[in-house]
Amino acid sequence: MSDRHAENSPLSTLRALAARVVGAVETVANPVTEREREYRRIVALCAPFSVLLLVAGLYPLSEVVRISVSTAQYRSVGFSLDAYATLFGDPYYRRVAFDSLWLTTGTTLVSVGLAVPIAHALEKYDLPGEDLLVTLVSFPISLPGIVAAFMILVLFGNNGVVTAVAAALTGSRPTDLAFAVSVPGLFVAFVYSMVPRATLILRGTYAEVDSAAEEAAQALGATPFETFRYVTLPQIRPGITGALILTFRTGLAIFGTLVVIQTLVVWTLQLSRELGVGYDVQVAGAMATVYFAFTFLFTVLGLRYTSAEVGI
Amino acid sequence: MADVTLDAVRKEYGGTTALDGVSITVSDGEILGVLGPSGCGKTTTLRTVAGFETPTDGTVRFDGEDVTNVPPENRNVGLVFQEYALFDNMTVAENVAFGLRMRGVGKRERRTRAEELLELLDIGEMGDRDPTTLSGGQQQRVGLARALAIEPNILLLDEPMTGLDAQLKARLRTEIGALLAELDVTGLYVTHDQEEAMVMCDRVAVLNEGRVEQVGTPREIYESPASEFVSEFVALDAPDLPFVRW
Repeated sequence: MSDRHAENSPLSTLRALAARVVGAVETVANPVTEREREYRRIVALCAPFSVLLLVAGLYPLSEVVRISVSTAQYRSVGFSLDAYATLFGDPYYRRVAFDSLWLTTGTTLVSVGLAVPIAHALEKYDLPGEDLLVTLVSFPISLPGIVAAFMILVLFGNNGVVTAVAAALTGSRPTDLAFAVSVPGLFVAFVYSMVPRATLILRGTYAEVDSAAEEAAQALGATPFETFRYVTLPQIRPGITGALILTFRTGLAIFGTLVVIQTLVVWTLQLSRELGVGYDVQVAGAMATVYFAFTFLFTVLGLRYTSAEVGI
Repeated sequence: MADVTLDAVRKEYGGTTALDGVSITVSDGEILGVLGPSGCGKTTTLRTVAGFETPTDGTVRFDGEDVTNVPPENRNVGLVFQEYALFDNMTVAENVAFGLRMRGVGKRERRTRAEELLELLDIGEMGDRDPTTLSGGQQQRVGLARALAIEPNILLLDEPMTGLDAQLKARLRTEIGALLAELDVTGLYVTHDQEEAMVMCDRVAVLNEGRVEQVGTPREIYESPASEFVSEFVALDAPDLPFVRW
C-alpha cells in the first residue's frame, strides 16, 4: 500500500517526467532509428522559432502581465488589480473599448463584403491586366498604416484632390466637404488597409471551389447569381468566416493610421497614450494584457467553433 | 429531347484552334459518341453545346433554333461530369431536384420526381444521404439522375466512366446504356475509350486535332474507317465486344 502511494506521489511523478525529458534529449542527441532522426530534424527546424518565441514572445508578454499588476510605477513589485479596476470601471476606457469594437466590426464587415466580389472577379474570370489588378488590390498590404492615412488625407482632406473636385462641382467650401479627419475618413482608411488582407484569404478559398459543380448548376438552369448563392457561397463560407476572424484581428491591431487620423480614440491609440503621454505603465500593461487575451481567445474560439478554414 | 446540330463550328483560344469546322448532328433520341485522343476537341465540343464556350465561328442549333449565343442556364441541357460535380452542401435528393427548384417546381413535386429518378437508377434509398458518403458509381448515378430530372434537350456526358474501376465500369456501361435507350434520351457522350463509345452510342464521331474524321455507326467506324487515324484509333478486337451496337 505504502509502495503504491510512493509510486503516485508528486515527487515520483516529477522524477518520471524528468526521466522522460532526459530520454527525449538523449534520443535527439543520439538518434538510432529513422523515426528518431526525423524527431531530431523537427527539433532542429523548430529550434530558432522556439528561442524567438521564448525570448521575444513569452518573456516580454509575462513581463507585461507582471507590470500590469505591479504596485510600483517603474518596478515589478507587489500585486494589485487597480489597473484592471480602472480599465473595467472607468467609463472612459469602456468607451474606448466600445469604439474599438464597433469600428473594427464595421470595417471588417465592409472589407470582407468588398473582398468577396474582388476575389470572385479575380479567380473566376480571365480579366485583362489581371496581374496589374492583383498588384493594385494587394498594394495597401505593403503600406504602413500611417502612409495609408496620409493618402486618405491627400484625397479627402481639406486640400485633398477629391475634396477640391467635389467643391468645384457643388460650389461648396472644401472644408465643409473634407472628411479625411472625421470618423468616416478613419473608417475608409481602415477599410483601405483591411480589404487586401481579406481578399488574399478569400482568393485562397476560391481556388478550391469546384467549378464543375458551378457549371452543373448553370446547366440545370441556375442564373449566375443563383449559382453563387446555392453552390459557390456554401463552398467559400468557411473562407469568409476565416476572413472575418483574421480581418477583425487585423483591424484591432491597426495603429499607424490612428497616428494621423486621431478622430476616434481606440484601444491601440489609448495604449500608446498611456505609455507616451500619461505614463501610466500599469494601465498600459493591463490594456496590453486584455488586448492579447481578447485577440487570442477570439481567434482560437472563432476558428475552433466555426467552419473557418484558415490558420491562426 | 431535341435534334442538336453543330454547323461548321470553329473555336480558337489565342493562336490555338480547338475546333476546326466541326459539323455534327445528334438526332432526337440518339446517343452520339464523341471519340478521340486527349486534346482533340471533345470537351470543347461538349462545352460549346452546353453554352460554356461561344464558337469563334459557326452555329449551334437545337431543333433548328440558333442557340449559339444563348447562355447555359437557358439551354436546358443536362451535364454529367467525370468528377461527378455534385453539390456537397445538399442531400442526394436535393441534388437531383436542384434543376426543378431553379424552374420553380414546388417542393413536394420536386421530392416525388427526385425519388422516382433515384428509384429508376437503383439508388432509391439514398435520397437523404450526403453525396460525399456514396461510392463513385453511386455518385455518378446521382449525377445522371440530376441531369435527367430537368428532361433536358440533350444529355451531355463528359467521360462519365473515367475513374471507375473496370468491373463497375462494365456494369454501369450496360445499365446506363440500357436506361438511356429506354428513356429515349438524346445524348452526346464524350469519351477517349473506344470500347465505351462502341457499346454506349448509336453513332460515333471520331475527332482528331479539332476536326471530325468520321461519323458513323460503331459498325461503320470499325469496318470502314475513313482514314488511317480512325483505323489506328479504333483498332479493337470486335469479338471481345459482345455489347457493341452493331
